[in-house]
Parts: sequence; structure tokens; C-alpha cells
Amino acid sequence: MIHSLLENLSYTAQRGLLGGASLIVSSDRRSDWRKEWRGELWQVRRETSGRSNSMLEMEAARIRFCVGAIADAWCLRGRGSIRQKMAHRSALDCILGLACVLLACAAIARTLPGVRAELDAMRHRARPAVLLIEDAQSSTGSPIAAVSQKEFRDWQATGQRFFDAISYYRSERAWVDFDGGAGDGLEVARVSPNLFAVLGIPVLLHAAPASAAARRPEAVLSYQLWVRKFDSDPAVIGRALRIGGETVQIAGIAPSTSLRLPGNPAMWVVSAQVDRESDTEANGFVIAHLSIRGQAAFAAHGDHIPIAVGGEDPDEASLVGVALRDESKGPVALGGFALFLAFLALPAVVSVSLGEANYSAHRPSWRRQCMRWLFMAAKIGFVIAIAYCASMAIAYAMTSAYSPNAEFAQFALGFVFSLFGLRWAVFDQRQRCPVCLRLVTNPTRVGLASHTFLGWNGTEMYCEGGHTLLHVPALPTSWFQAPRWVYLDPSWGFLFSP
Amino acid sequence: MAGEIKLSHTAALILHALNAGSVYGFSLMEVTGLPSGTVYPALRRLEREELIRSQWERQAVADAEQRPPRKYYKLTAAGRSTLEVARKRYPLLERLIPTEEVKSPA
Repeated sequence: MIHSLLENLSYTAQRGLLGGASLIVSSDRRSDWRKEWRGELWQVRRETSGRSNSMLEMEAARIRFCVGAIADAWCLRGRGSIRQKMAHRSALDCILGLACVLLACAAIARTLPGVRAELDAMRHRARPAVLLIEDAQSSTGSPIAAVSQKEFRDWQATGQRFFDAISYYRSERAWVDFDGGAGDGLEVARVSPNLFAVLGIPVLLHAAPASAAARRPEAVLSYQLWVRKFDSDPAVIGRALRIGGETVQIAGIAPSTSLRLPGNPAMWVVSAQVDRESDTEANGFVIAHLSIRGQAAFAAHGDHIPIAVGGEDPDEASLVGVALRDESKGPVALGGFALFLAFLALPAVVSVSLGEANYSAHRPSWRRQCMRWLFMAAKIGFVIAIAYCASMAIAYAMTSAYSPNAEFAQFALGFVFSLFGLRWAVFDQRQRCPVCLRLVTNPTRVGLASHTFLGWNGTEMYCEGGHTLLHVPALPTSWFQAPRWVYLDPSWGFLFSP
Repeated sequence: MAGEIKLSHTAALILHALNAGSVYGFSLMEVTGLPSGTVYPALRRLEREELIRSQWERQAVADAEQRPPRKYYKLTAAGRSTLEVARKRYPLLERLIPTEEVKSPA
């Protein structure tokens, strides 16, 4: 019963589709056209009913048949409509399609907080000639804190030969209570008030604490913590937090940056006490900016400078200053490098040349040739932009701030998208008619394979505009290696006339 | 004049399938494996070039078989000579559709 009802419904829908398609046909031929297609549909339904076990497959075959009626109707419609039908393979259509893909990728990337943070990170980079002073025994990549607060105060009290600004920085794990009773164990850094000035990084949304709460230490949140715990709410400024037993007031947000200080703190508590009384023997780091004299001394030592304290022999200095550099090259530089590698790897995945070989003496005009290369350049431009936006969107979809892993993912994806995008651009160009830039169509195998390789066999495709045929050899030989174009004379016109 | 007309492979395939006798659109799809969106427009073009002609079967025949009437297509003399030229150009046509597989109307 249900099966019969569904059969009737689908038959009615398919007859309706044919009826709709018949409206495309001119009125004088419509009745005849509809009669033929409905008769054929009856035949199709009878022939397909016993062939497939799945009703879905059966109906899909019938619908495919009915959809073909639209092409037939356009064919009967006339010249203008045929041109419209053919336009979907044109160069303009290709460019519009690429532009739509690019807009979609850019719009998606723009909405992702990770992408915005990464782009922001490029604007907020540490100034040059900033050093991190650590234990001379530190192994690469794991700096060891070696300066106590008392030693730092002694440094401040004495004149500096190589530095024009110094700041103290000590990181430790602490329990932080947020609003609503929720808490979390975070890496919290105690820093001198001038830390961000020494680094050259501005504090976002910075607000001086109200006078009543002026005695409270200020806290600067990292960008990641601000996004993760406070949903990027600007109203968070001025709110109080409890760190251990101490109340601090949020005074600003550190911008997203690729600079990684030891410990990678989630919050900086800016306290003048760091520079004054010390109640801890724990060591920290000194962040220092080199003076002109210091820069000359640093350059003489290479990538580090030994720092002798309290009459130490400089050759056996217990501290060392290493340059504090941003880890990131930036998304644009990474994308550019991925693109460079993709161009290098392109010959490995593309075997066809773009040079035009043809059988006939006819050559397209220089204007058409220029248009062809401009079209190629536009496609490559779009492919590069799409690869950049898509790789950013995918790499930063799961992170809310700068991340080295996401940066690696962006580089790898950028390379893959660029490589295969460029490959597509070259193959697409190879299959476009040199005259009208339409894609050639209807691939057909022609000729017979010859044991002596003297006979020609391969694939033949034609331009729907009737300008050219493209011959692609099945087996490249020394005399027929690359695909060749055949420019068609007017005797072929009847095939392409509406 | 007709002998000078060059056919695409698809058109030649359809013409070759028609050569065995007058057939209708769906049987051409079955024999050639081409979709309806290719077969019917090709038939229109071939008919326009007078390489084939179409004819509705008599209603009495369709009624006797309890089905709608069919529109049959048949090669013209010009179509036959064009097909001969196309066969030389596309020698695989004979292998793709052996003549005995093409259905003739009852």
C-alpha cells in the first residue's frame, strides 16, 4: 500500500518535472516534446522497476532521466539559451566560482578568534635588543631562573653599563579564584611595573585602578586567559581576583603575541613590592633592554652575552643574557614560504606543459593570448589567497590564540592547498580552449593502440564554442608528447549551431 | 555535401546505434550507455541536419501493447553516408555497439 502510494507520488513528481521543463520549449513544439518525454518516462519506469532492489536507486535513475529533459529543452529553445547553457564552463564562471570560495574562506577565517589573535600577534612584537638574563648553566630551550629579588634591587641601585632599562620577572603556580567561586591553578608571574614597557608591548584596555583600591596590585591577563575565562569581555577591567590569599585588580589585557616568556604565565601581577621589600628567596629572571654600548658588546659575543655579578670573572660568569625573540615568523611569511615550497614541488605533480602545440598553422591573436595568461594569473592569485585563508581557518579553528602547533598546521595546510591548487590551475588551463577559454568537453577515446607506436591513439575533447579540438596522447611518444590543439575550420560549425 | 560533415564521437555513436533500424530515445540510452541529457539533444541536432528523421508510431499499435506511443528515429540517406565517413574516423564504433545488439521495433 505504502509502496504503491510512493510510486504514484514519484511518478506525479517526475511528470511535474517534465511539465516544468516543457515550459522552456517554444509553445509550438511543447505538446509534441512533452508527449515524447512522458512516453519515454513510462518506458523508463517499466524498465527500471525490476532492475534494482533499492527503491532509492530506482527513483534516482528515473530522476536522472527527467533532469536530462532540461538539457533537451534548452537545446530546442534556441541560440540565446544555448549560449546561457554553455556559459557555465566559461572563464568568467571559473573566476566567479573562485571568488565565491575565497569570500567564504575569508569570512569563516575572519570569525574565528584564533585567526584574529594570530593577526593581532603580528602587530604586537617585542622590540629588538631585549635580553632575558638567566642562569649560565641553562640548557637551550629551558631557561633557569637565577636572580633573586635582592640581587635585582642591588642591580637597580647601581649604574648599568650595558642596559638602559631592566625589569624583574618571577613565575610560579598559584590558585586563582574567579567570580562565581570558580577557581583554577594558573601560572602567575610577579613582575616589575615597567615589564611591558621594557618589552615594548602595549597593554590593551589598560585602566588605572580607582583611588580606593589603589593599594591593590594590578593584574594583567594574558590574551588566552581573557578569551577562555572571560569570553573576551571588555568589562572585565576593574574586577577583583583572589590569587592565593591576595586580592588583585584586573587592570589590562596583554595582547596576543608570539613572544613566550619562561613559564608562559596566564597572568602578570604588577607589583612595586617586587622592586622593594622581598619576602621570598625564590629566583626569577631579569628582562633588560640593551643600551647602544650593550648592543655593540652583544654583537661581539654573538647570540648571548655573559654577565658577571659581584666581581666575577667574565669567563666564569654565573649569568648569561640571551636575546628574547618572537618565535613566530607571522602567518603571511609562513604562507609565503609554503607557497615557495609549493612552486618548487609543482613540477613533481604536474607533467603537462602550458606551452601550446597545435596541428594547424592558425595562431590565436596576441590579445587572446594575453587574455589566456591573464586568466591563468588570476586563477593562481585566487588559489594563493584561498590556500592562505583556508589554511588559517582550519589551523586556528580549535585555538583561541597564537599557538606554535596551529602555526605548523597553517604552514603544512598552506603547502598542501597551494600545491594542489596550483596543480588544478595548470590542469584547468590545459583544458581550456585557447580561443574562448571555455573548458573542452566530451572526452572521447579515438584511434587504436599500435604495437609499433606508429598509430595514434588517445583522448579527444572539443570546445563547445566550436573553436578547437584537444588531442591528448594515451602514451606520450617522442613525436607526440604533449597535448595538441586543432583549430576547427567553419565546416565544423553545424555541430555547434543551436 | 553530407559526406563532408564531421561528427563528434557521441553523434557518431548515436547514428551508429540508429543504423540497425528505427528506434526510440530510451533504447538508444540503453544501447549507448549515454545519459538522457546527451542522447535527446543529439537527436534534435541530427534531425535538424537531416541525418535522421522521426516518426510517431500509430496509436493503435501503442494501444495494443498498452503503453504510450513512441517516437521512432530512422537514418536518412545523408545520415547513412555520413556514418560511413564517421566509421573510418572512429574505428572503435563497431566494437562498442555490435549491430545485432541494437533493438528493432516490433
